[in-house]
Amino acid sequence: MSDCHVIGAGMTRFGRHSERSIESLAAESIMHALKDAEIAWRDVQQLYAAHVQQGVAAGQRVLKEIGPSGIPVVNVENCSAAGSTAVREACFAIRAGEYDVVVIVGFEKMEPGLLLNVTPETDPTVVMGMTVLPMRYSLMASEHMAEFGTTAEQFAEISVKNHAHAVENPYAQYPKPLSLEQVMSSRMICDPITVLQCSPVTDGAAAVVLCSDAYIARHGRSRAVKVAASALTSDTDVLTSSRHTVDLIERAAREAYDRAAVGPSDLDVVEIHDCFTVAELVGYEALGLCARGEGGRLVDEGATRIGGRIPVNTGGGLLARGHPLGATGIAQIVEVVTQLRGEAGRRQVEDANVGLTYNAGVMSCCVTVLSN
Amino acid sequence: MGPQVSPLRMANTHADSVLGRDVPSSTPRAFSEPGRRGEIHLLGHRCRDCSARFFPRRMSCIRCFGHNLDAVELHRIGKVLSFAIVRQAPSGYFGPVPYAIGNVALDDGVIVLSPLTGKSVEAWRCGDVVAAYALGVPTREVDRSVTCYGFRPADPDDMSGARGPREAP
Repeated sequence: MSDCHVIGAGMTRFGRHSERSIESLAAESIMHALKDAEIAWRDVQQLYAAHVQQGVAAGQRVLKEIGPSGIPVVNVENCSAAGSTAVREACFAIRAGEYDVVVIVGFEKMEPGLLLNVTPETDPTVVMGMTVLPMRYSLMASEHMAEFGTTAEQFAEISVKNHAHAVENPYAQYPKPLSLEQVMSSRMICDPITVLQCSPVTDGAAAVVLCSDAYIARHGRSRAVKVAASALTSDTDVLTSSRHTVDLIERAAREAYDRAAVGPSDLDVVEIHDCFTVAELVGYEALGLCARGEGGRLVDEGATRIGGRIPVNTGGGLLARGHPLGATGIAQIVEVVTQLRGEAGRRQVEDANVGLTYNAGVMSCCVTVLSN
Repeated sequence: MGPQVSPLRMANTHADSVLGRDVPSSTPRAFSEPGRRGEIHLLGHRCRDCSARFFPRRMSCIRCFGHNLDAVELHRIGKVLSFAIVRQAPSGYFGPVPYAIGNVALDDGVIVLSPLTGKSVEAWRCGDVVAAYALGVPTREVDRSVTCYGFRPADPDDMSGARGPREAP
């Protein structure tokens, strides 16, 4: 069975692109990825389009923009985990021997407002005020603070770190440093989550080119990065209480580690789905970067900063790079590929050879392991 | 993580018509007829095969996926497992801000996400003992509220009247 290799990675700058169409953003990211892979659009055999709220057949609209070659287009919706879910599907197609070169593009233009209130207003849980997304992470925070003594400052420090990382990322929406004071004193959304601990409203697109062993054997690609594993889980409980959310990540991580034959201590660089700061801290523990309850201490030690033991969200994460839903999972992979190639410039992690991305959706979780 | 997308039907109210919903009449009710003080029991399912209890009621058991399910009244007393203070109202919510939402672990082991009312939002702590009550919730239409469920600090009457699950009517 063929392995799958990332031979091209590209993205648009993340931010507000009110003057641009979603199709042009997606096509731009594909062009960057093709150029990076040194291949032409006509060489691509299948297109996966990951998006959440971009309308029916958005992938086919993107195809028209990049070149209507008539290849199969697969639209993938899996909430904020759409991007990495699409990469997983593409790996299946390559491993099955059906295709040698495919492109996966993720894209989104977002409406302003609180992140993703997807429940229809006619559901009584909406008038009860229970469908607001930061609430989920606030519940996790309150449990973590009561059980382990984790502090509001420790959560806020994660936003400070990710904004500091974004300063060196030319594609980040907010490449500006923030102080702990600024993060803590910004408007409270859902205790202890202040507005500067919520991922912003973002437009943008990211794309990767994936190929088979056979393609590498024929054409060679010295900068290729292997997709060592991809694991996707969904929820096992109707309630999705805090503990079950952790279980969702733990199961995906366990499967991905097994398939890639690595463990958390082998990782050099990690991307965690920090839609809120709380999600990153909970993610440290669920991915096994530290023991349960030790997330706050990991923050205090600075272990997840660039230069620390296990740098997390080196491109700024969702908090500072931005979070265009369908594009996020691909942007995480673009960041890890850039790091593993040693092409991350001033935010480069030394000797990065194994990386992991954890991309979350509503009641689902996708973990991808990449290696040199 | 994400919102719950459940076809809940609130009991004994015009909630569905007020919310503009067209809910099939077979959709299970969420809670029992409120008592004199507004006290309620949430209506859940108990699996005859694996004894799992859960809320809201579903077509299949959430543990063994079987279909031998009995409707039961759940314990109305529980403890706050975790809580959130929401300070920015989401669209579709018309009640007071800030407000508190909590995961309540009922005494029979079922965990329920619910509004927490009856004291200042700042005063909530994990481990607080609470009881289930009917809760009037404002809607988009100014003079029309719907009756939903919520949890309030348990008082002596709640504790003395605490009782276990029984078959739902």
